[in-house]
Amino acid sequence: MTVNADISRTRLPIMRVQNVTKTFSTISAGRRTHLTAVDQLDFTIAAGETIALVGESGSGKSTAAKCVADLLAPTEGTISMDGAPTIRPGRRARRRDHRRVQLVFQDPNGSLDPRQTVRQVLEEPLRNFFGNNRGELRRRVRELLADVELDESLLNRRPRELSGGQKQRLGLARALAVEPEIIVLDEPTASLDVSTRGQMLALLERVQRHTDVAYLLVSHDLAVVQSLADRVLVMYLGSIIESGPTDRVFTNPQHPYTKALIEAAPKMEYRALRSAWRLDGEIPSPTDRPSGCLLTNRCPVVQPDCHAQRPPLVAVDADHLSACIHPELLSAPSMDARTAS
Amino acid sequence: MTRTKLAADDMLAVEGFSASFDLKGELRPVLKDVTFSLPSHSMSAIVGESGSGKSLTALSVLGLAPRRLVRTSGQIRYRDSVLTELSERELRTVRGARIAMVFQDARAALNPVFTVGHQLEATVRAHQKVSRKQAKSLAADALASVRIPDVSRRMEQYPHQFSGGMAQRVALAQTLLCDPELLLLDEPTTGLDVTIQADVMDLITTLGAERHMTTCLITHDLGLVGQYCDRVIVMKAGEVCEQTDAKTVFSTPTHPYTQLLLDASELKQRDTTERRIIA
Amino acid sequence: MTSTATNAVQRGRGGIRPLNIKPRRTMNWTLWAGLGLSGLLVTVSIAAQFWTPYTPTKPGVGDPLMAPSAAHLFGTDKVGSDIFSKVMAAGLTDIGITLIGVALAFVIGTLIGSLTGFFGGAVDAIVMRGTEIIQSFPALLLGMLLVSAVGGGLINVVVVVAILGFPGYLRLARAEILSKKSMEYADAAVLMGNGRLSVLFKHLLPNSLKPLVSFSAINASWVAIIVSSLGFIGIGIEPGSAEWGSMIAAGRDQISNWWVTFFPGVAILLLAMAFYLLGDAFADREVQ
Repeated sequence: MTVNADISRTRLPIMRVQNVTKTFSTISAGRRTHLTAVDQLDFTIAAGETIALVGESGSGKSTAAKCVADLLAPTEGTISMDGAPTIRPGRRARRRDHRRVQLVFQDPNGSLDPRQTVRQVLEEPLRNFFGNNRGELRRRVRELLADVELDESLLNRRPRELSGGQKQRLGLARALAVEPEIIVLDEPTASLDVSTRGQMLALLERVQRHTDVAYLLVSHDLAVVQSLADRVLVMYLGSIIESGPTDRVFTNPQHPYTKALIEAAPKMEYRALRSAWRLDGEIPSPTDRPSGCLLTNRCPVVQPDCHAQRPPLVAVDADHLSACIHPELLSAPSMDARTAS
Repeated sequence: MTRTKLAADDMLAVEGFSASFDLKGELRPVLKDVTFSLPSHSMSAIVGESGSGKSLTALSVLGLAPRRLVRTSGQIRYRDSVLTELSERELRTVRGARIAMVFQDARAALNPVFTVGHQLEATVRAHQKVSRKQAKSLAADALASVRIPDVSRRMEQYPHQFSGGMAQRVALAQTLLCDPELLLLDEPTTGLDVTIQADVMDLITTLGAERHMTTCLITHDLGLVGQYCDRVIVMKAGEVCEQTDAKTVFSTPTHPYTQLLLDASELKQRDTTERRIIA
Repeated sequence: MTSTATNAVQRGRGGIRPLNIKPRRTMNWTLWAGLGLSGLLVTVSIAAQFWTPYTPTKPGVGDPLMAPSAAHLFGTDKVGSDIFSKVMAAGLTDIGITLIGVALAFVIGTLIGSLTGFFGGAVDAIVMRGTEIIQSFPALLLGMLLVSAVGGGLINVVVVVAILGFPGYLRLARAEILSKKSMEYADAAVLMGNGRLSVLFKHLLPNSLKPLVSFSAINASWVAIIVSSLGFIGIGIEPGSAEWGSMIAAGRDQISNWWVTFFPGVAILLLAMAFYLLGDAFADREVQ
């Protein structure tokens, strides 16, 4: 499949995610049921670019991110870097591969060891990967603090003595310590106030410009995605249902779900005009995914042939793909479309 | 102490309300001369970031603030009564019945070991003398009024079988059972997905209009204010910075902090074209 | 601003219910009482190694079975030894066995518990069943059985006390590690290049120690009673030596001469209480 955007063509992909599937088996009411959290995920990441996984809770975006960061082993599929597979089903990556892919956690409180000082947090990965030279450690720790714009006076503080924004910066500095090629950003601003959110995003941009690190951004906040991502992968019930360059996906969504997501986000103006484009009900459980198009039970313009089979991702134009077989209905006002169908 | 006249059409007035946390005998001020009013039959919003005191203010209205919060001056007036002068017993007749509150985590507010129907019926019977059968039908009506589909099946289910959005509707239904005239909503959609958030907010707006309720949304999201509210009170570090119409706040914000919030909420978009050229 | 300066302030739920401010009790009295009591006991026991009013185990320093008096504060026993001197000298035995036994149990239990909790699997299941078997016996009965199997003596008693105690630490450590294992900082530590063992011992275990420490203090009060009970039964520490339990045993038939059993009994009670207060204080701090 040719999922590659312009960027990936001009720059070689450094990571290729192929057919990654993650199922969990749970026992409910005495019966073993299988839950497909991520279904045949396929994408590439090139150096220096930002790819966003967008979706609501239950979309599988966090599970996908955990597979990429080697915190969960995929059930099927492989993740390769520079052509060599690093992650295969049921196997954890080798320790040295952790140097290449890092993760900034959503919750800075839970992801920092409460007993470690800022210095210890930063020295630990440096020691583990680069050895124990004291002078070198000091120099690198200073550098990292400067990179994320944290003051050196914080070196001996523990997480509980830091503000939310400071903790999140520390999380980023820790990820940067091992000079990774890819950083997975799991809702990097969800724990922050609006006024600190912008600063964090600006910092992430600056860091990327300096280091050429690629980001895999996981977020439900469309404003954050728009400000940071080059390409967007929209996920619903474990599958990518639309992908493409951020500006094109946002200005011209080709899937009813993407459209609903964009329309539902509150706009920063007084009584912004909203279309009546809404989804019915709520996301179904991943244990019973519809057999046809995943959105059939919520789509405002669902057609009889939508139930037949799961639509594949097809190119709308060069690098913009969508898994909807009736994109022509998207431009029609939803109410008319519904009565027409 | 600033003392504003309670205009005839104000449902609630907070007047020069100051409060401090009592930290082992030392007082740390957290609310400073908070003054605002909520006009009747409108939807107001108290907007602020964490630590702005917006939730503490709302909790103080209901007398539910943490014990270590000490009022140092000012008062809170609701219609003809001064809430800050009422005894706990008197306050209980107001809380729930006249002024109700919905919290962020609705599922935590429900008891996990009883069915949702059972809990709603218990609420009905706590406030009205009705038979079990009547209570059940009132509870079912309440669930239907918050647009929960398949009410009879839902009544028999337990809170964990409800999604976040559905649980928030149940919480709304529970407050509506007592027919309050002032409804405070503390971040009711934070943590919900955007599509669900839109549904819940639409529902709140509709219910407010249908039942002639005065509603007050406590939120950090100016987007919601623009979409749904008439009045806005901006708080920062325990103080009210600006109190104005929701429309004005977007066109001509007067306080620098309001401007800062607006600017911070509106993120600039990534220029992908430029980046492609670099690539 | 202090509390006394703000008597005009109204306080209560949201400042709605007016109440007078009372100074908040900030002293953690259990901690100070525990520290004071245990400090006193340890000081006296150590001092007893250098000075006691009479030679503790020497018979006939007074008449047999003298009631407490100025010369013999706690009276004398049936061979005429000074009970006050003996109670002082016995402290080191009881406190020493208790502390070393608890330390051993702590180390062994915590080590095994954190390993099995972290790695799980069949070994974990087997170890858990094993600790259940040990814990299903009444501790004193099991202690008696073990001591009579391996024989008495100081070291054997210490080992037996450790065996009785370690399942508690094991289960607590295991539970703590299990709950910490799913914390995100455990994931983060893996990404920071730590091997599994260093995730466990550098990150999870240090964050799990607080409850173990407070448990060990409470456990020590229980161990102190077990140690003196073994002495009372007459196994373990050789009878007649300076040990509070065996001193009580020696006074068993002297009910009318209450002081023979009363003072060693009080000593045991004080020791158990000292540890218990400390444990209580630690547990309180943990909650805060």
